Amino acid sequence: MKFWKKLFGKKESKKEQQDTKPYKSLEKNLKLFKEELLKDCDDVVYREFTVGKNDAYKAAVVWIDGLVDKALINNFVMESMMIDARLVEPKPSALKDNLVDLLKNKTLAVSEIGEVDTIEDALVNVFSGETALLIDGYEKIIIVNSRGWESRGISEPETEAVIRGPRDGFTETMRFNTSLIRRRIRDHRLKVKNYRVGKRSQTDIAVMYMEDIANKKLLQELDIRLNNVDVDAILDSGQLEEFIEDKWLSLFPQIQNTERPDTAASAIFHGRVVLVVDNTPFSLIVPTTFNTLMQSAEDYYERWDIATAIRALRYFCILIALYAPALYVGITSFHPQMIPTDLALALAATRRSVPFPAIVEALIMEVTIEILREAGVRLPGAIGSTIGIVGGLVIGQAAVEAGIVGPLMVIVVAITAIASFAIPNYNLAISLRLIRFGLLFAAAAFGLYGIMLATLIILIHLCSLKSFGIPYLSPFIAFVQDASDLKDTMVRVPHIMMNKRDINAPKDEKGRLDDHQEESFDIEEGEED
Amino acid sequence: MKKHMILLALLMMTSAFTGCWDAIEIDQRGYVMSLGIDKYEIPPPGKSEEGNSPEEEAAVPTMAHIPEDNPRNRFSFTYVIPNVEFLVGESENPNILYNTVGENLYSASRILTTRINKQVFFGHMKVLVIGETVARDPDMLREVLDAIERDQFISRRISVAIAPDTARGVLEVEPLINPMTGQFMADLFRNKDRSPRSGGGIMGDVFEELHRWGNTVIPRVIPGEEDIKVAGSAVIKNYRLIGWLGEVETRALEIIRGTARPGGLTVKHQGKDEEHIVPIDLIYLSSEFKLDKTSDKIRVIKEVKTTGEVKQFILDPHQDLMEPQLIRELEALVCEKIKKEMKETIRKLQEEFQVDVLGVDHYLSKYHPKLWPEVEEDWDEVFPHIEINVDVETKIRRVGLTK
Amino acid sequence: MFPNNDKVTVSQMVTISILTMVGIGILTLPRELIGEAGTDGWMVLILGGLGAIAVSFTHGYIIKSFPGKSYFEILSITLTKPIAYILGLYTIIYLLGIMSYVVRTFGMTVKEFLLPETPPEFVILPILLVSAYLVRKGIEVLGRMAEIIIVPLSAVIVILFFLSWRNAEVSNLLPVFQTPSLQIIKAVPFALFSFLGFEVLLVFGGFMDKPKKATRVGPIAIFFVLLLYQLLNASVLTVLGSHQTERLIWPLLATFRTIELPGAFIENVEIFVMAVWVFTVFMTMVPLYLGGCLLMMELAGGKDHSYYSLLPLPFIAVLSVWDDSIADVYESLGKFSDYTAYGVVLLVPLGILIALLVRKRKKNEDRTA
Repeated sequence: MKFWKKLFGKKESKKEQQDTKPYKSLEKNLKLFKEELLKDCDDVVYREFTVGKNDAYKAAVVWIDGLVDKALINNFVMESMMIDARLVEPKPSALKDNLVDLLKNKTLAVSEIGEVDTIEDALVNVFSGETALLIDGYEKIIIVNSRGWESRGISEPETEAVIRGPRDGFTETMRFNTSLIRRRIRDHRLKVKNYRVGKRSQTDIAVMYMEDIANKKLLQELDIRLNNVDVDAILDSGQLEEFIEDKWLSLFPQIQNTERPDTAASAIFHGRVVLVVDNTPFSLIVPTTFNTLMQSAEDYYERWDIATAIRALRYFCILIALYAPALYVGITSFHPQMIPTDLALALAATRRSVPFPAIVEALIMEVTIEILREAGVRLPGAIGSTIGIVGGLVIGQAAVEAGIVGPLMVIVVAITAIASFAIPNYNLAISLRLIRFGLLFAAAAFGLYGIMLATLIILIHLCSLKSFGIPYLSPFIAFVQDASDLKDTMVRVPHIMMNKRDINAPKDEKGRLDDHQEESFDIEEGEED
Repeated sequence: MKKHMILLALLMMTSAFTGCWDAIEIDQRGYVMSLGIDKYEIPPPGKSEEGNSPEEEAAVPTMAHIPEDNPRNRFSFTYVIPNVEFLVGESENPNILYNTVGENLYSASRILTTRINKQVFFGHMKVLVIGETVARDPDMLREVLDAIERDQFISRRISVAIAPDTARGVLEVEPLINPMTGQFMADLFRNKDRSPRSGGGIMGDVFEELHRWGNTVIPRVIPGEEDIKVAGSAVIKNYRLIGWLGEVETRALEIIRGTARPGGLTVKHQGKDEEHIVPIDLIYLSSEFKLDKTSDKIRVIKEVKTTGEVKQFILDPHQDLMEPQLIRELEALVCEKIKKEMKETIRKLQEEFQVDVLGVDHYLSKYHPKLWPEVEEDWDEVFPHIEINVDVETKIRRVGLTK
Repeated sequence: MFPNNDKVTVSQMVTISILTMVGIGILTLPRELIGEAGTDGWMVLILGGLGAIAVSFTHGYIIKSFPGKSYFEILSITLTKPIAYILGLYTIIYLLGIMSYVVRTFGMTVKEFLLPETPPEFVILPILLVSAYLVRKGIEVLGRMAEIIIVPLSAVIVILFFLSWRNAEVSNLLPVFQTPSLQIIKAVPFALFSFLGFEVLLVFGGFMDKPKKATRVGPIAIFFVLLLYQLLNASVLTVLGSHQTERLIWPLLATFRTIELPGAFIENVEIFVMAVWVFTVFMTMVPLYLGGCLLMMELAGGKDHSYYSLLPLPFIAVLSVWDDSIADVYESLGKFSDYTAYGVVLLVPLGILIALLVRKRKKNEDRTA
């Protein structure tokens, strides 16, 4: 937390917003907009008109072209005020004293309407796609909800595809995303709190949580951290993630991101908090543990025994992705007595033309595969996969034939690359890719001893990490205390046995299944016997 | 944060400065698969003259110039290093045989590095062959075995054998089935079906027995033209080879020691009017000593239990194997034969070698801790005079597919 | 809710104690047991374990009586400040001294099996730096490390023992009950010292989240270690036999070296064993190191122990390469622990206990008066 203070020590003075009160006069307000604040903003549309029987009142609407639903403004703002309002004959007294109330409550046929006191607030709303309604002689600005821009439809999440499970994914629009979650949680205790982050970008962030299950301290902490973010723009949740996570120096992602509304909803059910960020399909989930990064949505939809086997496989993949090249270097350069004699001799035979030490050999292949991987992302889809295969096959084959690397090295590198893709969380996978190089150097220096020391460093670091107060390696680091949390780690026990919420939920809110459900299962089992 | 960086930098520096000492690439090592140890003997003058012709020297590049009368030349070591070029088919020679002389194993291996471009590496050593001359000298044998046990790379699971004549002679054979001698011998020792006609020959077990009372048996390895045979065993008494046991005697010894692997035994069955040769496949179930407490002399009884399967009888016999009576007869024959062989071996060990490699001492020290201290001091004298009885029980369980 | 603020749970404290106890001692234990009592070593172990449980119970009682107080504070309260300074220093010397022996023995074995050509300084220095890193992170991270490491570590150890039983001869455990009882009783102090390490509870007791359960920590930990030691002793004896065990410097490693893995994926297991052993030794070193640093911090009146984590490093490094041969190391280790361990483990806690009882009696008298 120290660095927070360092980074945002002066935030109080900076963040003071100057508040400009709107003028009473419409003309002056419009002048302020047109000639000062929104000068050279040609996408702003102004429409001045008069209201009332005798055109007694002047009014104007301001909006940004492209962000608003024009039909809505035409039909329900302009038409209502310019035509319908004239049809009704209001009481003169009301007209005089409370024109604004009249407009708001009786004339504007728009479902969502608000009022702001300052010009700045009004502008932010306008930039978010609302329409500002200014009325001559009125010191507040009415905000009419008119958001309606072109957006991508809901499509299947690409990074977290599943075979079985819902296919809808988040889009770039925050409201869609919150609604996708809300659809899954029809409970009044699901809270959605809005924040705005980014001095200039003013990005909307919705914090969603279960009021009773989520930890109060966590919410306080999150509130502090979100308010402390003092940056001009947040374009993606990835940026926000770095600003609010515990240790940005760490290689490990301490905040989970997801494209899947079902994953987000499931997290909320477990007392975690979801941050839906506008303009990105990736929502954030806090707190995050290493264990949650290893879970995939599908684990809960497939049968539990299969899910368990897959979980175990994933942890095994982590080991391969981290250690395979390092072990290759450690064993071939330092401890050839570890491997069976025949293999050692075969290795010696195939490696005898390789002029480099094993570490250089490994680095050549590892860097090559990283280049291929990076190039594969840049290349357009159809070519990308072809180049990937061609590059991988040809370079691997040619490198062996040219005597630059041994054939086993190619196998090791390939299996390492494949294993790293088996990790469900991409963030974690790329971190492991980097750590693998560290292990490689450790192995080159000290052999197996070096690998073990590096493992210790990684473990110490992981043990010291916390995500919003939850130990990163929870529940492994206190498995005696949190024994029931182990049910959803390297194994995934049947749902009926997952009767407790994990460490994120407060002590008195641990129960997930009610007794009735458990009893019904018991009876069925009894009958089978 | 700064502290972090300093720590990290220190770690990086240490790893950057190190990493040279122990990193030897896998293809830079010479894997000694088998090691043969002989006593260095000055070559007879006639032979050395013959071998000293320049052409011969060039033809055998692995031969070293051996200084003739140097007191440091006590041992002659033979290293078998597989030729990795042979594995990928780029060479005709399956093995590279190096022969050096030296005062001890360590310095000889050091001298060897002046002659090959690889690091001599014992981590994959499989077989140790000791020449008879070394085994007959207790000091030399103890020196060599200690060097083997002390070395951190040489496994305790390597096989050890003693060659009558020289170890080099054994290692020079290139067996037809697998010309890489080292692997061939390793496989030979590991072969699960290996008949009990030779001892186990696991280095760790040999060490255990030697540490106990200095007596043990080590398998005998005999070179042939194009094969190598492990059969029979050498009896070591007080770290010294005192004699050989034949193949049948070894089998009996292995049964007594309780270490015998499954093996065959052939008996002659006298039927009503004909004699059949009946080979029987035996599994030795248990082998236990019992001390007969009734007599005041030390009298131990060896109880052996085996089960077996009849492998051959005769086509269309008069009396088939479904008759329990016949089975009983066969069982009795087997018992008789095993008993006879065992008695013979026991007699040889007691009278000829006067060494207890049967395990009676071990048995007494474990199960009769009151009696043992009385005889421990002069067990070598006591052992030849104790009475050892043999009791064998055989059950023939299976007879194959025909009646 | 948030397991925060430098607290360790009871289970974490138990695992820290277990891992501190299981260190370099396991390498030599079977050989020393045979030297003390032949094949009756298991009885010595049990008696020693019971003794250790009794001693650790008093340690736990001390911690329980001063919930949340650090060792130095307890010393100051019971035995006055000046004495506390002396005893604090004494404990620091003990902790760091034992640690440097652990490091030295570790360096020797690693050099023997993994890095024969590397100079010992470069074997020792990296692990010292890594342990300094963990020491900086403090007791909370240490507790988590202990708890996360213990399960895979014990699984691997048990599997290794299982594998070694393929070559075991159970009758090697015989004969039993042959050692004269006097000899066994004489060997008990030695056995008690093979459980050394449970005294870290004294230093870390103040960080326990439930100090009331402090008396459980030692006995539970010692019970598990006793089980491990019995398993270890039995395995080594059955595999190697008592005569051979006596001859080997590190019989445990020799036992593992006899293992032949089914499927032969790993040819020589000892490399793997050494790698696993790095963890064990590391978790023995760090509690001693951290305890020393915490005490140093308090003696110097500092607030953050992490500043002291690098301070003793040069001394430990020098100490751990001080003795020349392995024979010297084992001899001077024996002398060193004779002079310090009795004091730290037995005498000082006894002093505290007496002072505690005196204080209580006084209080009672005051109350009645």
